[in-house]
Amino acid sequence: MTATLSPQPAPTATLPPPDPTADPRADAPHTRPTQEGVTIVVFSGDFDRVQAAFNIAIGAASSGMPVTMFFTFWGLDVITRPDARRLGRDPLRTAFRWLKPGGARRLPLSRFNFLGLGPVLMRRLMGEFKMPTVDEMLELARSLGVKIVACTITMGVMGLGESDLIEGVDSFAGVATYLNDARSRSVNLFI
Amino acid sequence: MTVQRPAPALPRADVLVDASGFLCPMPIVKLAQAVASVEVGQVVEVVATDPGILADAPAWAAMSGHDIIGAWSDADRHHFWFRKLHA
Repeated sequence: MTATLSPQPAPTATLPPPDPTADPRADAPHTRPTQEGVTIVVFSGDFDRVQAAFNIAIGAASSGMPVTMFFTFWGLDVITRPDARRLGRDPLRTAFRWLKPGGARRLPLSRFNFLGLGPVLMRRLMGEFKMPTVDEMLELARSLGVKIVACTITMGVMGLGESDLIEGVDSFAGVATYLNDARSRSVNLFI
Repeated sequence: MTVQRPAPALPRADVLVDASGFLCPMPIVKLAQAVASVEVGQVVEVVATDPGILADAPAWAAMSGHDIIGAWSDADRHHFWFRKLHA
């Protein structure tokens, strides 16, 4: 195999001095301009992980960035009404709703859950440190303009209808909506 | 032995935000709300005991586009002064 390398053309014209404020990635052909902003896929329904997700979302919203949180799979527990109906369309989904009733105050810890004792102790500790809990953070995030999106496919799998979720969900959508938001944002997280 | 602190020339604040005892992200949230509530050119002072504010205050300034015009720590109480640069 032979490869010929074309000789480097000698610089003929003097380039204008580089603009120090210019984004060095701006003229790279494989990148597109990104809007400052955040998307977070909240896949987990674990109290501690969701806490971290809200922490980032609230911090970003407080810094003037647009933020979208996509709740899917176990993350849907966060935006499920605590009094959501337990009756699914079929026995399997009904069993699911009984085993996993959802609600921001019912989330288990990812570690040291101890059948629900862990979150109770954690909430008490966080109260001492004036840390808002998940349900308070959800309210705070929404008041700061964080967009809440619920994944329709996993809602169907888990037997959740739109009326089972909290009021104020901004949209019910799928992966294309997520990607269309994420491709123009600079911070995209999966938690 | 007495410790002499140099009297710092501290900026004058239009609004004071006391975030003492609050942990991340609350100092930043309270700061952002205060800065949103004042006029362009006014100064917001934030006081926090969470040492994370030492890194977070400059980072927030960089993201939000407002200016830090003063910083001072008295033991575990950290003060930052922000001037609002834009609406």
